[in-house]
Amino acid sequence: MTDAVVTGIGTVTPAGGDVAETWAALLRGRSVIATWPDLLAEGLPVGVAARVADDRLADPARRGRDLAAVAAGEALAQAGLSHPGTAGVFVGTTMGESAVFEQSAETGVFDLAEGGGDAIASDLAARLGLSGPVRTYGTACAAGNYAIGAAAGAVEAGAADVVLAGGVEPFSRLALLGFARMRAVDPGGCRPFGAGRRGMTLGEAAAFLVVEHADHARARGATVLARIGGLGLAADAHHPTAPDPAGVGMAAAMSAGLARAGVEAGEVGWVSAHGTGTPLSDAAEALALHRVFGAQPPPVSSVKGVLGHSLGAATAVEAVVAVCALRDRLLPPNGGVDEVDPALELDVVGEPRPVDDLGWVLSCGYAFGGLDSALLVGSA
Amino acid sequence: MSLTDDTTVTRTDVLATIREALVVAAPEVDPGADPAAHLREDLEVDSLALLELVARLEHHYGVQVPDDLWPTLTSMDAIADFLLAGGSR
Amino acid sequence: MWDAEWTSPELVATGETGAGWAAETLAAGLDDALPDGLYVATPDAGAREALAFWREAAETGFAAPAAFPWTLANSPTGRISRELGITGPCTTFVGGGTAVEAARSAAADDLASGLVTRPLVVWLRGDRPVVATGGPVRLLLSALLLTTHAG
Repeated sequence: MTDAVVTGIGTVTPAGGDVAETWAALLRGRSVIATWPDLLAEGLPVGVAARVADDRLADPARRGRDLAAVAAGEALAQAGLSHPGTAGVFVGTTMGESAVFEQSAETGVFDLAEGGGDAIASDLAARLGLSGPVRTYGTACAAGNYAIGAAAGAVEAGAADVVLAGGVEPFSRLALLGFARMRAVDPGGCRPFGAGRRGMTLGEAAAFLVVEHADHARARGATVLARIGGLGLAADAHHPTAPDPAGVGMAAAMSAGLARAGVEAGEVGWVSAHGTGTPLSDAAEALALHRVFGAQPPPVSSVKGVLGHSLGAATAVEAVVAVCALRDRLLPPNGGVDEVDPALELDVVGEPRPVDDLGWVLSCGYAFGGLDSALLVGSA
Repeated sequence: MSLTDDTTVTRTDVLATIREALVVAAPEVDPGADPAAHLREDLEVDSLALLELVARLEHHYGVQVPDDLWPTLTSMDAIADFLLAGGSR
Repeated sequence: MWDAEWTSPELVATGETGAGWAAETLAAGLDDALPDGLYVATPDAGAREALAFWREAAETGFAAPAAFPWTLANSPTGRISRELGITGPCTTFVGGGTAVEAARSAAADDLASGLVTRPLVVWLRGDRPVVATGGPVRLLLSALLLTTHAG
């Protein structure tokens, strides 16, 4: 039995300013992806994206740091930790404070301390007055899983009693341009595991979990929401951007996660997929699921059809969603997709699905460069 | 410069421009290769390099390859056909 | 502490060139038994590339698709894993001294738990601050291969 437990969750996504709003939107299954005329007016080649509308994000150059503060605040409030002085902060991100990079083309000025990936974790630790370990994981679309898995390891090893762990990705025009130039964007919005899917949709988000040693939580009378079973990692060693089409690395990460958590495949009640909506990645992920689980993998959903792909924050959002699913014993649908690709032979959740016993959630994230991650999240 | 505006540009000129872009996008590939050869399967041009090649040509000629035509650009000849048609069907 | 340290030639363009130099330098410097885990610490991987990508798009209207993947801090990690054939755990820690220490301790923890047998810790950074206007830079590469017999 793992000693790493979750006592608080918080998130800001394009679907809402807190966990309740995002969870409700996922259960409704309707996408919040839209076409944004301002992006097109700026000269960007695509205007389809998922973006956060929140008055608390006033300064574009601090958007990531402000997203982090809001999401972390919600998680700490739920955990009942207003002054977690010795807590650590582990953050996953891809582009860091992207607007700082983007503004430099006009200003001719750039400060890595403001724009770099570690600016967000450092700022959050300073804002909250935290003296524990501070780490930034730059592992792109898997970064949130890395941060949460490492947080679980840290509390189990006694390196910290509490770690605020998650992912942060403010909207990146740079990434939007890059993905568009790579022809990786679906002009109609992403359709994970969908028939006729054509690509991803860029989003933005921040999400945090308060990860704590079970003894510490028990001693202070905190409510345990879920357990972190463990993180499995592997690498494709295949291509700078394309996944291994056979899904071997993805499967290895899932198997490693199950082994690390001491969980049998049959105990997984739901797979929260990477599911970006690209033709290649979704197909590889389906093959990987069959490798690990055989002919009938557990039910699968991706949140990205509703929320878009928030890169470094994605797997952190998905971990928060996993906690909600475990709490409510309800699998959210694979929203935003009308027709699932039958060739994938997956049980893709169409409507919110009540379950008697969810068991474990396997939450997967696969990054550019072929880094594969799978996190096990279980009931309290 | 759209090719429909410049009637002096020949197929040879366009292929030469494609070859120059290939040198930049896929330096390990022989730019003197058969223009009918399949870029990915015969010349082993990587998927990212192919994106780069076409993007450079789109920028040079001021055109955009529509998503539904992208799968047809499998050779230098096919790309030349597209560009000589003014970047349209 | 480091097994080996290298300095790259002066590079005007980084991105794939720089990551390729790091990967190939490591491949040449390691003995026959390749690592089975990779722990990369970097303060600035992807940052120069991101500025150059965005600056070129702003100035010329051309945004190179092949340049975009190298704007991610994670890209040297992927490049090194491909060069060395590492299919085990690969991680990128972003930051300065604390990132280096986090990479080293993560490698040591995974070695102690038996998850890996030959973790490679890598520290990759430019020799000067990242500036908006770009310009030449040398990359500094330090590497440490941990084994159960390491002191």
